[in-house]
Amino acid sequence: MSDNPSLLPSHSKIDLSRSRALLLDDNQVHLDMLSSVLTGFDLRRQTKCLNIRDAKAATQSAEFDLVLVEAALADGSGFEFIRWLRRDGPEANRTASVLVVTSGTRLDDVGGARDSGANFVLAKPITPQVLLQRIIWLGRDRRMFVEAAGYAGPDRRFKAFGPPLGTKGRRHDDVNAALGIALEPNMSQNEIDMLVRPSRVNL
Amino acid sequence: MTAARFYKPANRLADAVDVRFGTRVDDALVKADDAVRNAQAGMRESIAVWVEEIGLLCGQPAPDKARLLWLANGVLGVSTACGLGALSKCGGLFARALELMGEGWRQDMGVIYARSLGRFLEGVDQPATETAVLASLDAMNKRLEAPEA
Repeated sequence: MSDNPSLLPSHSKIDLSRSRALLLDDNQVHLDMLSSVLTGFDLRRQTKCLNIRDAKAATQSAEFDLVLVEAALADGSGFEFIRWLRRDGPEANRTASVLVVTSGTRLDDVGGARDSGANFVLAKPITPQVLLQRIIWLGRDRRMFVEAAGYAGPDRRFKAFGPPLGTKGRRHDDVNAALGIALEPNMSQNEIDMLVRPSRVNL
Repeated sequence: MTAARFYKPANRLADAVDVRFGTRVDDALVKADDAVRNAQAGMRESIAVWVEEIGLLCGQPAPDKARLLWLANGVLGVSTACGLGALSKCGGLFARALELMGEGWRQDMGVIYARSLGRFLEGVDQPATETAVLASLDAMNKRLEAPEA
């Protein structure tokens, strides 16, 4: 391969032989192309669906590790399926990793995918490199899962800057903005200097 | 504020990446490229059928736009796998143009896109010409997005 993105160091290894994927796309040719790519990754346990109804039925009978959804479907939006999966889908598949495949990367598309509960958006055309890069990214994803009145899916905050000013925050690890009284005396300048003092190292 | 539940889900893909024993990323990509290459003949046939149908629909005064969008989306998604990158980009620009048209239909634009898609499929132009055509189509879309007063 000519250029490996940083997430794809050539010495890295994957084993997707025991994983299972659900593919939802109303274009049979594109569906088969995605399926070929996944087969190349040794992810052979696949369920291919051409419509939302079949995809919903498939989630009732198998546990999926990866779900690939086309955003624009003839019988509805892929986002609707993801919303259903996250909120009303079978317990075993509710937190499955979901990739949305879309023809556009306009803010509306990306925002729609994010708010429906997708883990990541992939813009067409999909190449094997990009797809594998995202699968690896999903495998390394450590985000919390959120279930609230208006949203169910992975935490949409990639970076934790704490709760908005003046609010308590809803996550257990959100730190309150109000600081308490110091428990120990301040460090002296000498003590601070000792922390950063250069020291000789024997190599 | 509504109560929200936060929890750590079981990431089932975590056990499949960065493993000690498995397929090297490079090897997986080579296998995937091979698999796509093996399917190219069938995909090319489908693309040709889609481009032809786009040409027919764009000649109509009130075509089925949902069908046109589906076809353009197909061209965008599949052409790159057949080494037809410019055709894929053209399909993407056409899909965008259709969205920008909203409820209406611009047959003049449709005809231009249909002709361009046909030429990209046949590969009759030099790469520099293809780049210039794509830039021109992109500019046309931008004018559609923000028409001059």
